[in-house]
Amino acid sequence: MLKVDSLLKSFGDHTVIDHVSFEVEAGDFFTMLGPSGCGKTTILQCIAGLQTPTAGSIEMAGKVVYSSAQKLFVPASHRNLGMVFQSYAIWPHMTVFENVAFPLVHGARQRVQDVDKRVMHALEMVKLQDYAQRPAPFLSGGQQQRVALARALVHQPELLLLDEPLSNLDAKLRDVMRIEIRNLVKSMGITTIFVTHDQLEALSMSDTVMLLRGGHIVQKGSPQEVFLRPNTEFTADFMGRSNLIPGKLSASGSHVTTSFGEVACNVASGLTPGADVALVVRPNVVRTVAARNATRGQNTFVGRIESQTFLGDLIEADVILGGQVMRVALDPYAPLANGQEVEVQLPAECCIAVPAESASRRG
Amino acid sequence: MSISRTSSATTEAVWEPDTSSTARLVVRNGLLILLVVLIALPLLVLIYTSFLPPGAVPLSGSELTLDNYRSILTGSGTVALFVRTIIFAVGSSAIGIVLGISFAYLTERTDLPGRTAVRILMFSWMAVPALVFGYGWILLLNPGNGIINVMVKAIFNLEQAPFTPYSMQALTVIAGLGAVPTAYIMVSGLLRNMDPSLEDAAFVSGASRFVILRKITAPLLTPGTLSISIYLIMTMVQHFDLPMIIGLTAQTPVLSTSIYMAAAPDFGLPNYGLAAAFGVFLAILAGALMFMYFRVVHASERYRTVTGKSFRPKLLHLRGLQKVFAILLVGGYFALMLMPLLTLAWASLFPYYRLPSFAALADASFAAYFRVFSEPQTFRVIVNTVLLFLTSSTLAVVLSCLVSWFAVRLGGKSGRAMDLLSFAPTAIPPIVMAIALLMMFLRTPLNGTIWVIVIGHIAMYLSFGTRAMNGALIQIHRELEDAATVSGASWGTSLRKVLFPIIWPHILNTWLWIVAHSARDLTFPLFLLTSSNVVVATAIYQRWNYPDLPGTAALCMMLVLALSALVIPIQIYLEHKNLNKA
Ligand SMILES: Nc1ncnc2c1ncn2[C@@H]1O[C@H](COP(=O)(O)OP(=O)(O)O)[C@@H](O)[C@H]1O
Ligand SMILES: [Mg+2]
Repeated sequence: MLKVDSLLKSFGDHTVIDHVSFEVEAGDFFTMLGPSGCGKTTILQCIAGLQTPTAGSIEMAGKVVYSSAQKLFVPASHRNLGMVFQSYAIWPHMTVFENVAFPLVHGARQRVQDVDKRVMHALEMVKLQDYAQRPAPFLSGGQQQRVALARALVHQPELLLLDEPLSNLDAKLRDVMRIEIRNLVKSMGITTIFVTHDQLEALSMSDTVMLLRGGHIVQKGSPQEVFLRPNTEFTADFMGRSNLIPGKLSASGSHVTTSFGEVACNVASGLTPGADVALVVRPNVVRTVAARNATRGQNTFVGRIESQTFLGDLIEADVILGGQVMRVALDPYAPLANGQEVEVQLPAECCIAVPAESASRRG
Repeated sequence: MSISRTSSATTEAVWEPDTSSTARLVVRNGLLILLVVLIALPLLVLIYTSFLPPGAVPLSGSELTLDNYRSILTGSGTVALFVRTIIFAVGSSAIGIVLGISFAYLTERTDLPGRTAVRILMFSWMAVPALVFGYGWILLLNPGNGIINVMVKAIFNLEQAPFTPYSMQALTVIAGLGAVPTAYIMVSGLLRNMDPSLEDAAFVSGASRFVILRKITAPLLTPGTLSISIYLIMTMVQHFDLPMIIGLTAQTPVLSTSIYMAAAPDFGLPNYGLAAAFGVFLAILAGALMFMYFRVVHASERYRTVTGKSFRPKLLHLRGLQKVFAILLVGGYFALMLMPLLTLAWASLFPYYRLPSFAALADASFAAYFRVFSEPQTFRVIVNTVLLFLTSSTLAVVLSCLVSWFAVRLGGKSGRAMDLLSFAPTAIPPIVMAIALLMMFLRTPLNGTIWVIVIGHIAMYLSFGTRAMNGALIQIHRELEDAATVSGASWGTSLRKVLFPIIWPHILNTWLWIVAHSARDLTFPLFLLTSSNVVVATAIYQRWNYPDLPGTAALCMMLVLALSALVIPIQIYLEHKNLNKA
């Protein structure tokens, strides 16, 4: 459906998007995820035609809409897109109805006959049918966002682009809209490109997540793949808090040698024995119990609790393990004391070795 | 649906990274050419003319010479002329800025009664031409029968009239009073944009209101005030109307009036070369001030206190004597501003000048108004004036909107070039532009028509228009236009249906400002005057010199009333729009 090839965008000699290539399947809910300033908006605007790339090509539904080689640029108004902006961009001098009708009335497409019917249908989809005649300035943030969605969908675009649409909503509303947006676009079968810096949004809404950093793609895959099998320290850290323990891959290639011992684990592809790695261990997979004098199994080590923070659902504790701090989650109903010796067990299937940052970092 | 898209996609595909639509490309290039012709070309013509010998006109094949510069630089009065120009500009700006700051503080930061009315009056002052203001003051201060002189003489039993309008001091004070509204508008904008939490923070730490004013507000406003002062000095250096009607009689020419005297001397042939050389000096002086202005503005970027949000600062409660003093100050100022208008109104009612008295009131009549209206010339004058201000304001606003769009939204080399070209007239004195246009159009059919004045006004007021529209555009999130484009709207549609309706109050305000300034301006109409392009400003000037006092006064009153009828309601409307937003 969408094919971006070697997309390059520079401002002066500052390269913001560095030869990025990816494809999006028809009907996919595709999320571009990354920290602020990594170039998500820039890529989205290049796809929309609101910014002109420096080089590369973009193909939509089999049609080239941008190609530096062919010197071709289809303007945004002719790409048949729906887009929801971060600011919503609801026109303040129009009513809700007029806002939503705009793409049908003023779009460069063929004259549309049943404007009223289609606008009302779009408003029903976002449950705003009773607000049609309301002037735009009299809408709450959540309502403005629904109007923006209706306006983006009313002309049945082939591609829907969403730029951090949830970031201006309060937490409660965000949870509701996350589900609503996904259900809506999935029921319409529309290909969606969603931009966010929030990994929770990305994980909960997407079919495919593409993680970006400094204008490069770091990892692309299903939410499960990206979360469970990070390929870099950056992915592991960005997708959710992780312990990143430095070590070396053992000769067998299935263990990591750390300061507190050998840890059996999964290994990211492309790593050779002896390589510098980071062992990724999420705090909530670590099993921590008071130390006993029994024989210890695989991946079990003894440490000491350094400090604890009570968070309600869980207790976050730092355990010192061979001079290394390991963040673990403790059961709030079975408290342990600071300074207490504990036994820490790292399930091998939940641990993964990724290239150490200095080796994996590009640019 | 998909078929219609793909077919249109192929026809619309273009290769022009900056301008993704053909219409936009055409408009951009057209604007660039227009700006060069309107602004850069006249400057070149001016410089060329300044090298022509006396009596020569451009393109007449005369040899070029440095004589004009030589005669100015070696002339005995040159130093005095520059000094006088500077004293006039600095003095009048000082009066304007001091009173402007006082009134702005009173209306924006205190609970002064009637502060909204004060704001509206200040914003409406543009309806009173400098010309009218000046003639009113001459009537008030005339040594023979000026009302103020007669009264003061009677009260203090004086032999001699204590005041005269025909002096440097009078000229400076009168121009200074007229500059107050401009200073007020700029300073109150500064105050409105200042984040009140900066003051609140000091208040919470226990500082008194007075300490806050001295230690927080004043220092924060200093860079802005400095740049406004320089801006005012720059406009006063270029000012022509008052130095023309007051200063020439007083034998105190400044640079702008020297240019006029060289180009339209009482005796002998016009010396365009000399006038242009004076113009070059005046433009250099104004340019130097503009450079200073930018330096200060640049330095004050650090002090930017704009929050972008609308807010309501806490108002200082005026008590007892404070309140009395504030009301006296504001009331006194408006009395000073209204006196010349009332004097002219009075003068328009009698066939010859009478001192105000109840006895005289019995003879009052509107005869002068009927007489002016019955003259065949008048119809022509009105048509010319309306044609002038409607076309120049409308065209200037349309141009400003487009130029600002390219400068703010598109940027790039062409955007910056447009921005610079459209801002340049701020440092091109009107009188200089007028002489340049005279030279440019001397041998064209446009020469002597109202259209040369229209072109001059468009070029002059483009700088105000683009500044105002830049400010408006910066406030409007560009995603509002992007949303229209993505919805399939063309560039033109996104401007017409989305951008312009949203910034409509700014457009109206800019249009109104240009209307008022175009209708009141004397510089261009007088400099380019022929028998067929007389407008109200030049008609007033001619009648005063004729002399026909009642006719002059009647015309002045009609001009002020007509402009007020347009300006005041729109200002009230805009003020309420602003209040609603905040
Ligand atoms: N017009 C511009 N000129 C220069 N740099 C820009 C411009 N727009 C964006 N950038 C830079 O490009 C990078 C990516 O920006 P953006 O795509 O907005 O990031 P994101 O949306 O991921 O937060 C940032 O470093 C930003 O500073
Ligand atoms: Mg962004």
